[in-house]
Amino acid sequence: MERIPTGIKNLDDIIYGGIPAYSLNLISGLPGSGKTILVQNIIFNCARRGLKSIYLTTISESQLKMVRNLGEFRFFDDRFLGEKLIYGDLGTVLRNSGPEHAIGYITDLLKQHRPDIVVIDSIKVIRDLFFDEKGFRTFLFDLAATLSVWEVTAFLVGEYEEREVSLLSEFAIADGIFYLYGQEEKRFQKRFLRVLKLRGSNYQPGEHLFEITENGIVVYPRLRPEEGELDYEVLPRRKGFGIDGLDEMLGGGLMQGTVALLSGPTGSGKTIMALRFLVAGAEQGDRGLFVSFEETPAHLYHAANQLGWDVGRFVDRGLLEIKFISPIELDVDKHAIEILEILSSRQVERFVMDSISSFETGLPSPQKYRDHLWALAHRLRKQRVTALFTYLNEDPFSSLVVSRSQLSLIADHIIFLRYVEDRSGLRKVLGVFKSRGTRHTTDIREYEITPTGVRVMGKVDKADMLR
Amino acid sequence: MLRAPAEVVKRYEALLNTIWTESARYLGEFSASLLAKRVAWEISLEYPAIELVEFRPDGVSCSRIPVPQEESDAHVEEMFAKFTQKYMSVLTKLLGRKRAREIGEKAGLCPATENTGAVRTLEEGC
Repeated sequence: MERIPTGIKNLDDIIYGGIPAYSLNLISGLPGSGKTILVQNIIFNCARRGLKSIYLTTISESQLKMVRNLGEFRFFDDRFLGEKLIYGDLGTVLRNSGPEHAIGYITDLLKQHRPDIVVIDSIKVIRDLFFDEKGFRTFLFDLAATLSVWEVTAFLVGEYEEREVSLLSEFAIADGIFYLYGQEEKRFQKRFLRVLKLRGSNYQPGEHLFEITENGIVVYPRLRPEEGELDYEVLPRRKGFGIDGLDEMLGGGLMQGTVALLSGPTGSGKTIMALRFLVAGAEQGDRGLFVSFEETPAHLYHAANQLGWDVGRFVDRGLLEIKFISPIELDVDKHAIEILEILSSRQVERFVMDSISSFETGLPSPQKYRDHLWALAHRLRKQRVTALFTYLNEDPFSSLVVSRSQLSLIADHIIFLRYVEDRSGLRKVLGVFKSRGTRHTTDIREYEITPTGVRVMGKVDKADMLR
Repeated sequence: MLRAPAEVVKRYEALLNTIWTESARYLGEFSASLLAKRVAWEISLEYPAIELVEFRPDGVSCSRIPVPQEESDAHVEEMFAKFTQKYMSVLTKLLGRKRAREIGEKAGLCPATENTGAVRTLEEGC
């Protein structure tokens, strides 16, 4: 099927390559949801590829206002105006001659300009000019037929509520329906886009986050496991921490392309161990990415230097990248996609997310949290990235909270850190709950953070220490 | 071999009737008519006489096309050939190559017609 790529970042992936050519598409949503900017962004992108568009305004937004507002965006280029982008005033025709003359006006423009794309903004205004549904339906049918025989791909922009999708005739006639909406989600006012219909084409269902930036629209596809992704090969190579006792407990390290959960209370050394995991990889030439929601790169460099790990050297050589995302600014829908893009583009082999507890606070529901982690974990496995997620255990004397939110299901390995009381002091112990495909030890061993790193000692021999 | 214009008009009338009927099965009469009008408008910029072809629900009529008695058929044949090529080309985009080819074959056209190749019939040899 011939398609017209939108050129909007990630949108073409969602609709498998672009808008089907000669289709009639409804871009719907409430005022201010980003409909006009989306369509304008598409036609400017198309103009750069040599396609011609006619943009017909009605009476919802004047051409002057629209062009003036668009000038703020980088995709706008006034060299295209009058050449590749023809603006027409359908509103005057509608007001002076009535909607029955609109098709004739549009046909004359098609003959005159031979466009590839026609936009009508807003179709809702035309609907309101018809006295009955039958008249509007006939108009739409004629419009759809006219545009398709002139080999035109059409976008009809309209201010609609989602409930109207199942009620109004324009949604039945349209080949494609895109619904844009905003939503308050905890800390952010977010914008989402959903493809509700795309005749003759597959598309990724569900809500996809999008942002209006100075570059135009950027879409962040809904994170989900890709088709056929649930099956991945077992790779024999081990990715160790470079911590003798711990690697031994894990049978040599984490198996390549698996996901590990490192659970522990505050101050137990999760971040240090996670950093150590990447440093050990960098020493062997593995590229690593450390995504921190809690400590800035400067803090991490400092901590690493205190332990004698020359992290800066690995950063300079491109073997280690530390990306800090403030938990206040964390937008999981967006940042998860950005992280995946880095993992893919930089061919990262080891990945740390510190911590997924912050990830949790960035999502509106436990279900969405689980869905995102599940999808992320499967993408990581698919890309053969060995991943370590740290998790804050709020009970320093318990190791059992890993079953919360079914986190244990996403992890191939679960390593727990916890405190134990020993007379009047605190000691740290660690153990491996689970390590898929590995005959791991069930020992509980004491460990300490020393001036040179993490030292794992022998088995804890006093059972009462664990009470 | 040049044919007498009347024969050319008659031959193309039959061909267009088949194309029209077959394409209306997929597009519907309304859209097929719009498509014919659109193509006729484009071809009329060079050959105004094409606008005299009538596309009606009961079929295509070329009776209003003036038939020169003494001239060769090259001009008339060229006009119809361009119309057919363009119609088939748009039809291919709208319906896909497979369906357009089926329609062309029913009308006795060579497969190349659906693109921009010369209009030749299966009878003439592709």
